[in-house]
Amino acid sequence: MILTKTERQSTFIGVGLISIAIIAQQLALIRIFSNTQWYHFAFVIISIALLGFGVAGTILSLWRPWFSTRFEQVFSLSTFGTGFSLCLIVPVLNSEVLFFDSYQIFEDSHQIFALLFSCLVLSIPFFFGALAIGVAFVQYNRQIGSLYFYNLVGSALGGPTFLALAWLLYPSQMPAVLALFPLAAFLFIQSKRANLTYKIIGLVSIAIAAGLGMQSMDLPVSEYKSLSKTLLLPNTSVTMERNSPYGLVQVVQSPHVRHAPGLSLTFPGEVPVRNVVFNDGNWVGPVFNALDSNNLSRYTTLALPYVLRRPGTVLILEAGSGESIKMALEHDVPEITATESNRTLVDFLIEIADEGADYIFSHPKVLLNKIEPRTFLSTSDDKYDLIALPIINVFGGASGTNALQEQYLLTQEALQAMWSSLKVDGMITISCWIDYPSRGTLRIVSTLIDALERAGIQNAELHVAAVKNWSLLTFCLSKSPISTEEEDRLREFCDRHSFDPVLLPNLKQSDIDRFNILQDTSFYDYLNMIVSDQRELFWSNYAFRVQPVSDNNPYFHQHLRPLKLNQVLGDQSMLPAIFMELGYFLVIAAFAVIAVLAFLLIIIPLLLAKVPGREWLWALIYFAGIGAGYMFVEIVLIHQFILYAGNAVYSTALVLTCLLLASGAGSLYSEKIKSDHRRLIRVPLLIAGLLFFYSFALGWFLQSTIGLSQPLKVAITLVLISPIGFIMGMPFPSAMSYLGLKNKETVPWAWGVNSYSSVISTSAATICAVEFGFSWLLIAAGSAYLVVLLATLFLSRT
Amino acid sequence: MPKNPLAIFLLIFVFCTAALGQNSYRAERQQMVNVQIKQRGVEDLSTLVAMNTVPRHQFVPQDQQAYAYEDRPLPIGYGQTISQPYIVGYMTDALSLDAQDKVLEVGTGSGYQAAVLSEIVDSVFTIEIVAELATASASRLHDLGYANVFVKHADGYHGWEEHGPFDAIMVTAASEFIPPPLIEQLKDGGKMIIPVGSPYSVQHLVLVTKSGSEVRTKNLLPVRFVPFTRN
Repeated sequence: MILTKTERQSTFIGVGLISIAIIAQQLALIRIFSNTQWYHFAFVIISIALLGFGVAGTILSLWRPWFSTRFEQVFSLSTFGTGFSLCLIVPVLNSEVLFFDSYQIFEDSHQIFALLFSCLVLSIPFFFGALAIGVAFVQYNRQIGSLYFYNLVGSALGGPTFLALAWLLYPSQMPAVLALFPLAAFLFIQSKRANLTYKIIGLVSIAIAAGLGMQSMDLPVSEYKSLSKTLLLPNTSVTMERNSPYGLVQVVQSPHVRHAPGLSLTFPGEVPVRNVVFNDGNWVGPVFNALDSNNLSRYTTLALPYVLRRPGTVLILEAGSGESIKMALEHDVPEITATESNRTLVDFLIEIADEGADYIFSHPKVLLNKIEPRTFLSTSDDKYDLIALPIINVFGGASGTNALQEQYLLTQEALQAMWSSLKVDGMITISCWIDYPSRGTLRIVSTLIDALERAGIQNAELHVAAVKNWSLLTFCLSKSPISTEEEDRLREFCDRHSFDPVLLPNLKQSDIDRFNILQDTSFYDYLNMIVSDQRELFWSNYAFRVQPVSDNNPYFHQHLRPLKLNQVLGDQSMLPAIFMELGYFLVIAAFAVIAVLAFLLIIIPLLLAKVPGREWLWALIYFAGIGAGYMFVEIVLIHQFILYAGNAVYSTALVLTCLLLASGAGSLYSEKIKSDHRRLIRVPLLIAGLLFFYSFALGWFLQSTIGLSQPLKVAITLVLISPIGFIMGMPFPSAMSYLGLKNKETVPWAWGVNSYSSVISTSAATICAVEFGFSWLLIAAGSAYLVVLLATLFLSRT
Repeated sequence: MPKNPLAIFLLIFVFCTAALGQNSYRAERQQMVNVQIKQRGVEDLSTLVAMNTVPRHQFVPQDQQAYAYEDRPLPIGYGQTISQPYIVGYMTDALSLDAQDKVLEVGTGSGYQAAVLSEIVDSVFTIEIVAELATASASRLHDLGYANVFVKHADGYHGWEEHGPFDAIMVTAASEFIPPPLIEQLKDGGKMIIPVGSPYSVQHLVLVTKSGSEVRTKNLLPVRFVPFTRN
């Protein structure tokens, strides 16, 4: 079939518009699932998109001649299908049949099917988009570099497009608005043709998409989310909300919610009712102003640092709704510096504060920095008497649902940065909910002791104090040894409020569990082992991961150890932990579901089709290798840049934009040079070498430059990602072009294999990152490219 | 000869089916007590007898009756649940109740826990914040003949002062803190069991004992409960 230049141009532009919608839709789904479920589905979304791509590749492989002879119709209809299915995503997600709840997946078999169907339905727009792009790849095989360029540049624009829209639209509005891109492409293609019916269909669809995009729909939210639970209370409702890429901030008014974590049994007063604020359905904190004071915070273990000393300067990291600031104000701290990375949250809280109220963030004593805390620590030269972290579980979550959420505030590097920002008598304070079996609590102790060791402190036990009640444990890590007077004050504080000392330089047997008896009778033995030089042995023998985490593996809340699972399953007392660490299992379950779907829909049909040509085995190894390698790198970069960019959504958008833009340039360049065996060998070798270099240099470089300004960091991101993105963009079109010359029939098969490998690798990369860390994942990516190299060498010899 | 043999046959059939159904529930109940409660370490005889006596299937919605004796909580409407049988048995056992005790329950829900308590103690005062649940459970308990259970639609935060102090208090909703009024309404030597911790994640079932002016706690079991409410 001979196509005109105009038709080719409209096809290429269509591919670009579809690509914008496809990438932006992935980010939109990440936002939707962060809001309705939890963060652990973020990387599953990328797998779902790639599943759609893989199925499209398989169909092209099976019926390639049929598609080739009907290119115009298939391309037009697939473009329309992409747009129309995007329009329907949110209404379909609203149906009861498709709704699944993460927490019920292991209890209710219906939920697994709902998850499976959700994956299938969500992959439909990606399937149509990929079908359109795939059929164009087959049709324009000789201009594949240019086409790939349009594809990847469109994808690169998807990130900024999403970010721009995320400030204006609710997550539920996004898919319909994104549908306008492929529908506009459809109309553009039809404008060059005479068929009036298609033009009318295009116009009506655009009107439907615009209509749907203008109204925000309430998506069903997991009943286990904090917001869902709160809204069960009588006369409780969301009164105000604001949306941004940082999340959906919602203020809830209720006559029933009172907040006093771990309040002493001796508290004589009334705990006031407060409005509370949630972000993406997760608890942030109560809304209060600096004027309403009842000294309630003095009756909680959180007051420990103020009992030990009288800090003059306090730094509060990730201030949330300002609870720790209020605590500092109640203790008359003259200078309070706070950081909060969710600027939408603080801006909103300041804005909604009652008129005339001396709101906590705008209090004269408070200096607020709306930046990521690690960035603040790197840039600030100020020294503080006290650095306060939020209660673990409120901002992170020890409940397991956030097991795969990076916690860059609790890594060894973070503690080192905090230590450097302390005055000579400075302290770091951190509190957590007591867990059973002990996991998070022991990990905090390990992290604190490790920080002291790294600071060259001998006799670590002299520098740590901790008190508990029945549910809350508060630690203080002091730069100078804790004095006898301070110990006495701590004991008096415990007596007054029925708290128990847990760590003290001179802890007596009579101090232990005087008022509150823990369920874990071995807790103090574990503490002693961590404080002593037996900690390495304890860490390796204990059933859960409790050693400190680093920036290379920042999963503070992931405690399960697959190799020790039998030990946990065999101990009745430890079994509850399994049900509380569901986040990790959910990703594995989602990975399994998608792997099975991808195998059934991509690999089985390809095997049945008996792919022609001798190159199929080479194509299998080559395209599987570059698929795995590329996705490993993409996922590692997204994870590693979360700290650098400030949050996961920005990181994903930034990394995808830089990586795909550079890969697009690489693919365009690959078209200009001859595709032969030598290049098929050299390029993977170059990629592997660069990835091995990145595996040890990237983390260090990011850590060294984190304090730079945001525009400079974006520029550095571009510089860091571009080289690797550029050369990683070359193997795919080079090999496709090579296959096109050798055996055109094998092209869709190669594309399908590449997609399947990418689907599997995306979820596998997240699991591997948790188990082995980012550096090893980059080494694994480099190794995948080496396998590709070996396969190509083997082919050239035979 | 009866005038309508078919009607009599149907009547007999209905009675037989009902009797068989009751027997079936009884067998399920016995198995529930043996497998889910006794074998997991709840040994207090009065608790076991009470749970073997109270017809749990009468406290769940019609569409959930088939699952009434399964080892899990069940939805009862208004976002609330009837607790897993083991948790009911465990919490009852933990209070070490006597026949003459007066017990306060906060969070009536379906009324099942109150019915179990009423089989053991002298009187049960139970408070429910959701009006519909309070009305339904009061009517259900009355119909089933639990005359020593008193239901009130109110917020449990302040307890039930006019009937206090209580020998034991059982709270079946999660809270970040132990409400001071409940401690005040606990008798000297009394016990309270309450799930405390972050209401949005995991709580600990805590046993509170009052001895003079001193109050002590003991963490028993990690659990998940719906948030505690108050007016």
